[in-house]
Amino acid sequence: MFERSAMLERCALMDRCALINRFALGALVLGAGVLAPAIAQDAQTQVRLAFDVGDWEQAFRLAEALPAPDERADWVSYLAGQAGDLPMELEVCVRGLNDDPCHPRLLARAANAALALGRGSVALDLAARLQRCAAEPSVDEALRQDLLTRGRKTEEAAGKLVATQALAAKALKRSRNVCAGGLALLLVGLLRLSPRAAKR
Amino acid sequence: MVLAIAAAAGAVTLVVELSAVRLLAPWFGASTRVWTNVIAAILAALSLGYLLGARWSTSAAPMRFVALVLGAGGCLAAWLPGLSPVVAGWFIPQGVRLEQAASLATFGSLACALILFAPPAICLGAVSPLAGEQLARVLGLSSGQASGRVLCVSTLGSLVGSFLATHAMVPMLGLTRTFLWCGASLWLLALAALWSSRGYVSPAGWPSVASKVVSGLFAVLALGAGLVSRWRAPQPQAPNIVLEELQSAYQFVRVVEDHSIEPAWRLVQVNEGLDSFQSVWSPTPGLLGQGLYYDYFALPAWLETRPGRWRVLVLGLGGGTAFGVLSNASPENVELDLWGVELDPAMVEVGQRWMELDKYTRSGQVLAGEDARSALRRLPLDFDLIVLDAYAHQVEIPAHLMTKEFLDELESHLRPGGWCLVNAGGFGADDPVVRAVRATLCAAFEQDSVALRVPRSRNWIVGARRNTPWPDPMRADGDVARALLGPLHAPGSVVRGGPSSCGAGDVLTDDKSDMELRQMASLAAAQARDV
Repeated sequence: MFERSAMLERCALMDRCALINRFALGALVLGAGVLAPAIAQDAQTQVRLAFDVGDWEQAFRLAEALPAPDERADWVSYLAGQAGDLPMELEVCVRGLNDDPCHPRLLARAANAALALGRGSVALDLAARLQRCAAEPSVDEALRQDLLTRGRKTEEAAGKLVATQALAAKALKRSRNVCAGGLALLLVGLLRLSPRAAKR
Repeated sequence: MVLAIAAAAGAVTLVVELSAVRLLAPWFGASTRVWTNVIAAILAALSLGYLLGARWSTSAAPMRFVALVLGAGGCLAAWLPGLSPVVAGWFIPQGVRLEQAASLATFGSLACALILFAPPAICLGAVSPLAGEQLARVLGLSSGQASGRVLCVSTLGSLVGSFLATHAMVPMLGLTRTFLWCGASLWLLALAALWSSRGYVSPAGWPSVASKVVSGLFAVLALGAGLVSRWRAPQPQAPNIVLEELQSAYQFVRVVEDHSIEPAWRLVQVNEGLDSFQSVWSPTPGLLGQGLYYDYFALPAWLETRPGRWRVLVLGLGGGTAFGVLSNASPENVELDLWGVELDPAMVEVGQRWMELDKYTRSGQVLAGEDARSALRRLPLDFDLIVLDAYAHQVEIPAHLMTKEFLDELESHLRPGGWCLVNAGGFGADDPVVRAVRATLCAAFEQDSVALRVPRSRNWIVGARRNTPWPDPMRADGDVARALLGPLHAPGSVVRGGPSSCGAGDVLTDDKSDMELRQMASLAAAQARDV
């Protein structure tokens, strides 16, 4: 901190500083353009390394600091899944899918998390999305097959979940009706048999 | 004869009432809501039965009506074991998750109670006024004298029935035989009433042909019930297999072997079970893995790093899963002295038979059949760790075990610096149950409480220490500690709060505890989230 302010003071005294600053800025932009993918890859490698050695804290910190939104969603959702935080995994995946609707890993992870959480309609929606993404022309054959298989499996499992939820809703309605009917019958019986009614 | 009939009817009414919840428990649980529904349906039906009996008591031969209602009640009671699985199945589909089942349990159990238990209760309710009238006529008593005597013997009969049901019939005979016994007893009483009423014929000549038809029908129904009316709990889905099923004095208990994992695990389920279990046993020693909160009971020894003897008490031992984890996942330099308290002795027996419970503890250190609160007063005062893992009705921490007063007592059984861990079922740090457990621990220990999210589960482990703040819960050495703590680096997985920030409104006391309402709110919120 001290060194930087001292340098700025010196630059203010020298006319060339402005030229030097412009040159430095240009070099930085050019360098960033060339090096960005390598840096990003390096950042992801660091996340992986931290996770592999069991430094979860560092892995989460690095993952959340990844500059590209899809990579960030990919890694944070992966770590959340490994940490057993399924609601967070699903939430991060769904947010990531808003930016990249056909990200295959986010789709697969979101579908698994939704199924594990018992969120049938969300899983069904994700199954449809997996199949839609498989139909994209830019998708290569291997990925297409993978997406289709996952989509089918998710659809099947989500279908069962939704069916159970529908059965549960029907059973609830049935039980409410039986309760109302049964209690009404008892009440009518009591009224009919009450001493006043018996007198009449 | 009349008084004997009234007494026996009273006894059978209570046997049916107390055993009724057991019939429904594998589908709806045995929570206070289910008990309330069953009692309410039976009381409403009894009141209708009283009026019906009063109406028939004006007939020429009340004892014939006594025979009729006893015969009908006997048939209906004998059919309950066979009918209850079918009727319960209409109101709760298979595969429903715990959080989806909350409202189904409330309305489903009431609907079942109305269909199954109201009809026999109407019949049994009609006995008292008819018996009172008969007594008044035979002995020339006033209505007050007659009804007083009938009510007295009927209530004494109910008293006997309540003890019989809980302490003898259900645990020793099982549910099917208990209800068949009730049916047979009522039938014998019906025959006795019919015999005692011989010579009476109503002016309309009612008993002649109609009574023969009705008696024949009842005989067929009773015989059919004896042959086919069998109670059976819902079976687990393949590839799981049932190793043992039993009715304890408290609940329906079942040991299931889960073959979806190899080598197979064993689970102890009670009552409705659904996707939950009370104890688990893995043939592989060590941590059980994500989704199983028991692993976190091993954490204090790793955080404190104090070698030597650790005296540990588990309140709500179940089949002894906590003992297995503590024994297999504690640091090597720790020597465990394990104590346990379990209310239901059948759970301990099941643990001994199927979960190697005897391997981990010395004799006399597992108090089976005792309530945690009363047992604690007789236990040593120098525990290093007390785990509170007691659950009633599958999902509720018993209200008297989560109050400031009880936790004060519990704290006094810890050495200074000793640890208390509570297993709280909840769907997030803000879950009403988790909030109450944190606040109550804070208030009792006057220290920070720390809540740890258990990965892949709906459980939180909430802890506090006696006179000592928790160390940074994320800093511990050793493979086991790293495996447990690593996943908790996900945001929001560790919540720490001091006495000032724990929320006084959430502190539960002996005087005021809304644990059951909080549990309902927690499940309702989880269900709403799924929808």
